[in-house]
Amino acid sequence: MEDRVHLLGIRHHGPGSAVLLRRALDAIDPACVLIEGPPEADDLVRYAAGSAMKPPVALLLHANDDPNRAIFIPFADFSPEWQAMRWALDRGRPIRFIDWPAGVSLAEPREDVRKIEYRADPLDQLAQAAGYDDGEAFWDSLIEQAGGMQEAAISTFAAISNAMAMMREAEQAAPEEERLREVRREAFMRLNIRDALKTCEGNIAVVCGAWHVSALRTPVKLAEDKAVVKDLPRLKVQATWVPWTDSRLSTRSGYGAGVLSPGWYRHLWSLYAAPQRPEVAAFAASWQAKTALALRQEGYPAPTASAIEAARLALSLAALRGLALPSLAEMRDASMATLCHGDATAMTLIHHKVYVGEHVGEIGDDVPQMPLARDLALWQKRTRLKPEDAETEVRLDLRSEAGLLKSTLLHRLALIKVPWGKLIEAGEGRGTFREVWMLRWVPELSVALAEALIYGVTIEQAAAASTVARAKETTSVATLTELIRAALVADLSDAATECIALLQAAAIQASDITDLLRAVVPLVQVLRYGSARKLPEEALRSLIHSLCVEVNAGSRVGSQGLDEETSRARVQAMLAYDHALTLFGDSSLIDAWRMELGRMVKDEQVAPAVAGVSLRLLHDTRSWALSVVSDAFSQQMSGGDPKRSGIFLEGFLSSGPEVMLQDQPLLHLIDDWLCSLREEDFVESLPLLRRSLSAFDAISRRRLLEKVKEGKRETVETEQLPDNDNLAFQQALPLLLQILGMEP
Amino acid sequence: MTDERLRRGAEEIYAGELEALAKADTRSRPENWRLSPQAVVTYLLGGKAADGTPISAKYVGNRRLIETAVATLATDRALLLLGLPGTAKSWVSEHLAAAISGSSQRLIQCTAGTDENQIRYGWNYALLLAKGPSIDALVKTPLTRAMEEGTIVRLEELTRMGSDVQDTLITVLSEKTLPIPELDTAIDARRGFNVIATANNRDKGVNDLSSALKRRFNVVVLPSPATLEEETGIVLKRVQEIGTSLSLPPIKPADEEIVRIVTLFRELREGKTLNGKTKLKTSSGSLSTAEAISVGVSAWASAAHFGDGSVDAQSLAPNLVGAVIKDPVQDTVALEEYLESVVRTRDGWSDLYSAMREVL
Repeated sequence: MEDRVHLLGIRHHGPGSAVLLRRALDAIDPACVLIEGPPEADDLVRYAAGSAMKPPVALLLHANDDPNRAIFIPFADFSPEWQAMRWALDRGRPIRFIDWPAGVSLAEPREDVRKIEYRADPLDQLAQAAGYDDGEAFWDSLIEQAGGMQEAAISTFAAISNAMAMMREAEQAAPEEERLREVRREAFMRLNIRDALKTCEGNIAVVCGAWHVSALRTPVKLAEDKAVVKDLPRLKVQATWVPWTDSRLSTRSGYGAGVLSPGWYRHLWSLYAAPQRPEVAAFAASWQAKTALALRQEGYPAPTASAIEAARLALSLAALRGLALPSLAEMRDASMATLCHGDATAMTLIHHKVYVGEHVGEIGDDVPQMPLARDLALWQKRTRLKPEDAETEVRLDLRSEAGLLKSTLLHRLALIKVPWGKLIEAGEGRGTFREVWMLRWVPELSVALAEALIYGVTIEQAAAASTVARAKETTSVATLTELIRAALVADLSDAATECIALLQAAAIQASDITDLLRAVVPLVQVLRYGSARKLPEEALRSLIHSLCVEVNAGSRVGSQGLDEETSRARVQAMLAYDHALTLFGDSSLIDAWRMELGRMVKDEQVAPAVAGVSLRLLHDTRSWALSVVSDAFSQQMSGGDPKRSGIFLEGFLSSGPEVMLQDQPLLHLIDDWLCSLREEDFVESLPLLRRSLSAFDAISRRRLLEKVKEGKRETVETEQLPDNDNLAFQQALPLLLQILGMEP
Repeated sequence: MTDERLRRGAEEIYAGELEALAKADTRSRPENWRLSPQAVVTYLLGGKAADGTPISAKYVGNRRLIETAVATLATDRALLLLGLPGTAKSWVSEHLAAAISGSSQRLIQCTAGTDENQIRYGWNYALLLAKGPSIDALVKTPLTRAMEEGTIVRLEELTRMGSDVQDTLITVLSEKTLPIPELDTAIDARRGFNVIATANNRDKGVNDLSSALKRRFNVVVLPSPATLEEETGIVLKRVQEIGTSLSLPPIKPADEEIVRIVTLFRELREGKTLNGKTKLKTSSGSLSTAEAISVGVSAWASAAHFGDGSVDAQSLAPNLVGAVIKDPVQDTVALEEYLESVVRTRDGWSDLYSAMREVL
């Protein structure tokens, strides 16, 4: 390579490396800066200059036709690459990315990519060889050695690259795939450097991982490099900037070089980037103060006095270990001994906040984003929801416009599988104006957002279209109901209407009554209580109606010969359905349902549990007189198969102990039946009784026993009270009945 | 020349090492320190003095803990060593004091009966009555002497002492002075004065430290040894040292048996076998490394005096059983289970099984 080319081997995300790099750039004063990164992102670099760009941010490159094939290249403030960009942008020097194209790396078969092992940062190995536990402590000593001298920075880089060249020679043979990747990448890099030499006058600075420097220095014939990269498969890719987070920085990604503690590196960077290097004591104190603050927020007493002591201890530990500056280990040991009083739990609690950090980057408005990301940014502004890395709980009141807007956004995002928020509590049934969400933005959501592009260019469009698309793919009643509900809460009434039509069609074909029963319940709830949103009420009402008709017509036949598990699910669904039907309040449907229930009791082919719950529902709604219920009960319980009787009883008692405790006639019905049994029959039915009652908890069972011990009491006939003893009550009665929904 | 004393202080046993370290120590020392902080660390963790004298390791374990402890003392902050019973808290404290001040003898054993006069100062009542209050009538404590001379004072089992008495230390630790209001004067601490306290964090409920006092200590938690090898190394070394200083008759090396003791202790302590495959009942005692050491020493003694001169299952069994069974009901069950499910089936442990069965 020519003398004009200066190879600067850096440590990815190393603040120490970044500060040396800036000094070296000042000294070299290159006309053009080349950075390790995919050339497809060249056009995006200029946006890094914008003041609205706040690292951590990442370049996202994904295949045009498969957004899931994506790579991120993250940058923090303290990343040398970011600093190189800022340096060049501030001075108007061109920047070029020289790594292999993302189109090529993404075209590799995925399994191969996954197989590649993470190589420990070779610079850390170098630091260890030099006697430092911590890579950054090593760099700090290099900075110390270089002092403020710019020339010294260049020679430091030269020394590092020599050392790395030796390490590389000594390294064991890498696996074949990895070696091949490396050969290709470095061929691309060399080719790109050659190009730059042609187009650019003056010095050229190449900023790349220290590992690659020796390979880039070695002269390789142009033809050879061209042969290596010839005919590689290549995808079309799109590139954009996306916000990144500290916790993602702390795991390996992009270059394969992760950062243990972004929070600490940022603190180091604040030291290096300050125009006047602050005192070491101040540096240690501000870190310990940060730790103390986090501890206080977690409820630990962490007074300032202890923070001062922690800083002193950190300095003294650094002196003991022969370091000029306390490194992460010293700071941590010191916090542990003073602020945490040796309590590891306290340390674990604040680890994420202090050591990893909770920064989320921001992207400037002018950056060309994917349309969906732009739309999301608009929504975020409108709803005042900020993407944050930490889990935050948001309580929404759907009666307020702001709350409704937020809820709509989150529900829509959930529909396009961008789960920014997790709904942890929605006031179901009891009034649906309150929702509690747990929000957390992780950078992968940007990818998910890109994937949703196929459905539309705004969040509303995409959510609606993806809902309809999913609805069309399925004939499952349950899935369709869920989609309708989801579309309604996401305020997508057109999509909901379309799904309703699909569900109506599917319901006719549906063979499983349980699904139909279950489908009715949430729909009635939405209709009855509203969802604080616009509803296609007519369509919904007619859907429920037709579903109920299906159920009422098909229940008996659909309940014949069910196995035990299916019938257990059926029983629960029937109870919920019965309740929903009452809420829906269509008397003709209710009548038809009760008729069907009666038929199910009488039909011997019907599964016994279903028959049991049917009889119970008929009793509870007083559709059948007590004597009729009693007869039907004895018929079912007597005669033949004790197993069948047991399952029947279980179904009959399935709605829980409370009704039995309150409903004297019901209790006595069972009591009478029990007392009428002959001794051997009684003994035989004991296991089934036990099984039926075992679902009740101990307290209910005890109360039940006490009730039985009290014996039979004369029922107080409340209906027989004189109706006209309270005029005010009489006047209020019609309204009361309406409120209680007892009068349709 | 034989020494009448049962046990000699650390500074006497390791006088040679301390001297070698001090002679070659060119680094800066805090005032009144015998050694530089780096040399203190070397003294505790072992290594070589600058003149090549080998330094034995006094503490086996995490280097960073010891560094934190020494750095704490160098910042004139008091040091609190916390840990389960038998994690070498007192041992570390003794050696730190020996290395820093040249003496580990300034010691206050804190108990429920310790009162303020034993911490601060008392009065010589005869003198007090005869001459009235004066400095001469004060009876000094190890604490006041350490303050006057600028040395380390050790407080053993700090939390066993009543909370009100503990709080006597607050002013001493923060202001480095001990007021004597009766004489309208104060004892000012010389540079080099510091406190090393130890406390057991298993029964800290006895007298929890007040937060005011806790804040004045830097806390270093000494963990149980991390691995079998580490713990075996510690036990072997200490058994050898104690046995020699007790002048027990020499016996054949008992490394194999020590490994068995440590294995048994670790398994019962952690409630699972070393390979993690079998779950066990844990015993009520802490089964610390220190107890393993004492089992080793007693086995040595019984083998030397009553056995054939080598530690075997016969000499081991009674000591092991005695160490494990602290609660006659619960621990017997745990040990029975352990014997049947682990010892009986383990290769080469059948002798131990039958010997322990006999004792049980």
